[in-house]
Amino acid sequence: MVSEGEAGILDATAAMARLRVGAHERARLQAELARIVDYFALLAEADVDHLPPTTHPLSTGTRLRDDRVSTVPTTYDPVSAAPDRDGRFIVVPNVL
Amino acid sequence: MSEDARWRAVFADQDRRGRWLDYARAWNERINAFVSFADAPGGAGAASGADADAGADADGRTGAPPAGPLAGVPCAVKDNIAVAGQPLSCGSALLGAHVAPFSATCVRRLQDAGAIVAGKTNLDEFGMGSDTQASVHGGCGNPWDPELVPGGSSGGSAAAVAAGIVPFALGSDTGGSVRQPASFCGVFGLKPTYGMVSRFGLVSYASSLEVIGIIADSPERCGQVLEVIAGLDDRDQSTVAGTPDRDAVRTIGVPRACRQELRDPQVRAALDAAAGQLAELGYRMVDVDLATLRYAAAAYYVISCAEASANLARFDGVRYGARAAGESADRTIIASRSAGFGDEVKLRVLAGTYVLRSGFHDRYYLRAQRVRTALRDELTALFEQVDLLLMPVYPAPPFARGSARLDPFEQKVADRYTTVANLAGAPALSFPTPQPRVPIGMQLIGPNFGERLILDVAARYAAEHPPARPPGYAEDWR
Repeated sequence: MVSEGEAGILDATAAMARLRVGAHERARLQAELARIVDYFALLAEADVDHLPPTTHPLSTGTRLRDDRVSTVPTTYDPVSAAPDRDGRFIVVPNVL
Repeated sequence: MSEDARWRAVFADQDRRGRWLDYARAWNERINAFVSFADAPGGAGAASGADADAGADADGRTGAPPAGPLAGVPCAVKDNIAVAGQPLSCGSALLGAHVAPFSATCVRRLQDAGAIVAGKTNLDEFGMGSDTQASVHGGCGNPWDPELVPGGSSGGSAAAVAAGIVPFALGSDTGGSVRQPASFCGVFGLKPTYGMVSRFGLVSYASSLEVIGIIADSPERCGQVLEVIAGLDDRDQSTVAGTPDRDAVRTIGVPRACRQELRDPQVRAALDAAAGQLAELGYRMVDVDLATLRYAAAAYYVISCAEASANLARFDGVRYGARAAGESADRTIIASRSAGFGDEVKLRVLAGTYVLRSGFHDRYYLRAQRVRTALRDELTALFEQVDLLLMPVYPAPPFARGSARLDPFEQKVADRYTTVANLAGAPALSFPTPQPRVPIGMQLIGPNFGERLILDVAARYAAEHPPARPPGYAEDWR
């Protein structure tokens, strides 16, 4: 459970989610996250321990494509949508 | 002249097309349903003023649209579904002016059938919301009263159909996002069986729950469009094909819990009235138990937030959309996501990351998946007793925009009736019921691949109880 005092949990979760929590939104996000996680605790009541988890709504298994040569489905230029480009390259800040 | 022929005549004639655009723009100033109008072949009335017949479209089509079953019929597409050469913002500042480089499979199928994509419609950011107010394009209004929300997250699509701008629109339904706005706007909203319509080209939010759905002015139109867009797709391995396990509807069940817990007198009266009206049409109405309903919204939000936290990891300011400045690659990604995502998206990504954390995974995510199994098993057993279920779409009528709107947490809890079909993968249709003031819809949920059964019941119902039109709805421009 996320209590409103556990600011560390909010920051740790935000770091994993690659988000920065600004001072202007900290109190609101802390309260809203606490409220929704408290609501999730309702699931503890359900008598489902004996059931397998569902990961897919239909029990059809994985459908495979035919093993045949075909063209690449999307022949667009993926670089074209990048916010910063240099010719055919996407520009990013130094990684190292 | 058939409805299709009337629409075809509008888009085949430059003057009529101009009157359509005047009508659409006049409505859009009031309700903000469209975020862009298209420069499509067939000439939907280019917002930019470009010559509609010049050159090929982004999918390589040239000249007049093909003469298929939807030839010349306009439609709108929710702005989280790709249409080549048109904006694809998902209602988010993060995607900004992003233009789709290819079309979704369902859009291509519509265009191959001759339909004209008239424009992209407003939505809650990345489909996360129930009122179409959390959009970088501004909030959307309900055609019945622009001070009310149109529902969401496909609110722009529902509002565009209700206002008579287009006869149908595509939306996406992850937890009710087609059915709830259809209910709020007084039109029909079909959520097909999971996998029946390819999701290729839909910007993913919660992949195991979401489907592309149809919002239309009639059940017949929903069926006609479904026929065009459904089917296997090599670009989406989750697509399936199937047939219903029965050929007619005789018995319809109403979960007792719905009647017991509904607090709003209008929605409660609408449920009772719809059950009575269906009985008058000859269907046997029975009360049934649906115990897992109590946990549906909680299970849905655990799973959808978990999947959202993974799906939205791709938005990093590197490959698409807007980038915020950072001193390193890592800080650039964090800055771009923090500046680009809105409040509700941040909350859901945080909640999803939280439930997937080491030590919490079994308590929340795994448990929600077991609840999903329980719900699916319970529905399977129920469909041995009844052919369809009748349920409310939403426990409240359309609510006010602005500061008086329903609290976002309450909106989530209120999704308990719609999320049942998403968790089970089942088909469901929201249909309008006769109301004195604002629209209130009910939904029919069926066994997998039972769309035709549901639509047939809705068509019989609509013939006896035709949907009303909002003030300002007009056809004289046609």
